[in-house]
Amino acid sequence: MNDFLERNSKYIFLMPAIILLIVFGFFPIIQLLRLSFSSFTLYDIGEKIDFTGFKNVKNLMGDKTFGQSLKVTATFVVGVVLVELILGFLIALAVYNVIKRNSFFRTVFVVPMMVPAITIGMIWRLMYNTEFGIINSVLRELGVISPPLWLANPDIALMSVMVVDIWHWTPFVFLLIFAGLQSIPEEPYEAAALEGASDSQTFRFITLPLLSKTIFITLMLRTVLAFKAFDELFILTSGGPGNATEIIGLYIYKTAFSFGKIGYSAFLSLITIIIMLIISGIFRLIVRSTS
Amino acid sequence: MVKKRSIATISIVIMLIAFVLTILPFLWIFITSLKKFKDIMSGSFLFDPTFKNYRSLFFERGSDFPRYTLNSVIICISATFLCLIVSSLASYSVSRFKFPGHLDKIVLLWTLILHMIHPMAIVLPVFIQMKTLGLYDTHLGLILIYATIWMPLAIWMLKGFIEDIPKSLQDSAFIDGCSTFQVFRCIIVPLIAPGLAATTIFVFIFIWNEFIFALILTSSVKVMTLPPGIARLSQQYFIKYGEMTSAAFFSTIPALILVLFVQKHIVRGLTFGAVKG
Repeated sequence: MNDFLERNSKYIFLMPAIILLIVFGFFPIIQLLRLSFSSFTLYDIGEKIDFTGFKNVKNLMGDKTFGQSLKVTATFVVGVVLVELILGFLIALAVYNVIKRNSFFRTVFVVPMMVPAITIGMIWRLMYNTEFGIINSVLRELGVISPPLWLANPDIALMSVMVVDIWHWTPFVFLLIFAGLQSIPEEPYEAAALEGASDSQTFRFITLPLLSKTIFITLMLRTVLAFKAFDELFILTSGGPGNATEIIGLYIYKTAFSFGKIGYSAFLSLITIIIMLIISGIFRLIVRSTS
Repeated sequence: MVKKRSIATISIVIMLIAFVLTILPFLWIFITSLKKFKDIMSGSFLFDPTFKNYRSLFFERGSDFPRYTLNSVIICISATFLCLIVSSLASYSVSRFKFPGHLDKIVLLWTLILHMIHPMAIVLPVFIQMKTLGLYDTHLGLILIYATIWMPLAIWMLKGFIEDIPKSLQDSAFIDGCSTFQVFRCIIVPLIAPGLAATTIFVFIFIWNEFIFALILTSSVKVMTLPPGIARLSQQYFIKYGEMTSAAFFSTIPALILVLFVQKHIVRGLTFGAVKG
């Protein structure tokens, strides 16, 4: 018996993980595929999943709200990732210029990432509050007569929500780029100094190229994560006003649990997965072609 | 020389602005949580501090907040424990042994895919699955799904730490006659202890913060965790801003404490083991 256990030890070690992954990972994905081509609703739970072929594809074609949601998601993802990349990079450079070791500053700056996203949404919703929120209070002190309705105005709601994500995740970019800066060796800089290179030349021809891999990984990780945004927006605006901030996660949630159309929302999830795979694929292709 | 000094000044200014913007929301929430309702609405900077909001949140009859906190503690500790055990065993076998049919590579790839998928895509079928299995609105249901969802993170992080251990240590132990499990228990685990601790803390924090699965897979106060509890509070409490800010601040406390312990491996944890920092 002990002999059997020892000979197959590597399988035994892996088995619990495989069981969990199959039961709660693989099996749900199969179910997702089946649901995607069904008209399963919240009331059908306990019954068999029917098969309705491509009816959901037809539903998708006529679904203008989904198109709107895609637009909101694209604006959101591109917007936040770009701003976070630029801000995080700037802050990383600034901090590296002042103190190259890991410091108290880095510890503090990382806190937004460790706090529950729902709490961040709640905090900012209170800060955006038109009557007592700190933002409008300060604006009123500065003499602004009617400060903006940050979350209720359809024209600026998306921007307000993006600011929250930027506050939440810029530290992520900062952390990675700062780590990248810390890992650059001294030699190229010494050589450049000997050659009499200026600061901007050093930056353009040494720092940037050596950081390019880090920047790219950061871009890739942040983009994948930004697509999954849900918690903050749920409590900030819940997709509103209207559909102004209804990113894809929120739309799928509403379709499933407010309208009860589980089959159709499963199909939408499938579309989202395919989009994500395509985008990741593009990223990986770029990595492969540059190395 | 002048240029160097002005770059240094700009750097310090940027640093300070970022610092202030980072802590301002936390500071404001904390201060507001200590204000009476009339002080909150008047927006004044001078006020009599009070712990009334926290008392109301925790001790008032009919407040669900203590229950939410207890559920979070139970579920997070159990799920973290389960996840770490399963992941450390799996991570060791995948790092150090070859498998027929590339089973190890398939498992690793599968964990990557799971990480990329939108949580909504998984929670929909899992919702139906849990209802069918009778695990809906139970502690066990959430514990199992959480352990599975964070396996990728734990496996990838631990893999990095295990691979840092020289193979020769393991080989000599085998030659001395140790079984695989003994090698795991006596050599690997002690040597990756700091990495194991960091991984545990990260898994714990991420599970503590998790919202979507908790929201959809629980419905009663008996099982609901803090994040959906807070969302529910904001609907129920309507204008009880004092209680809302206290709840918000309270939920940040684990993060504020734990962040001090993971500084060394924070880049590894937050990039999923992809970057060693």
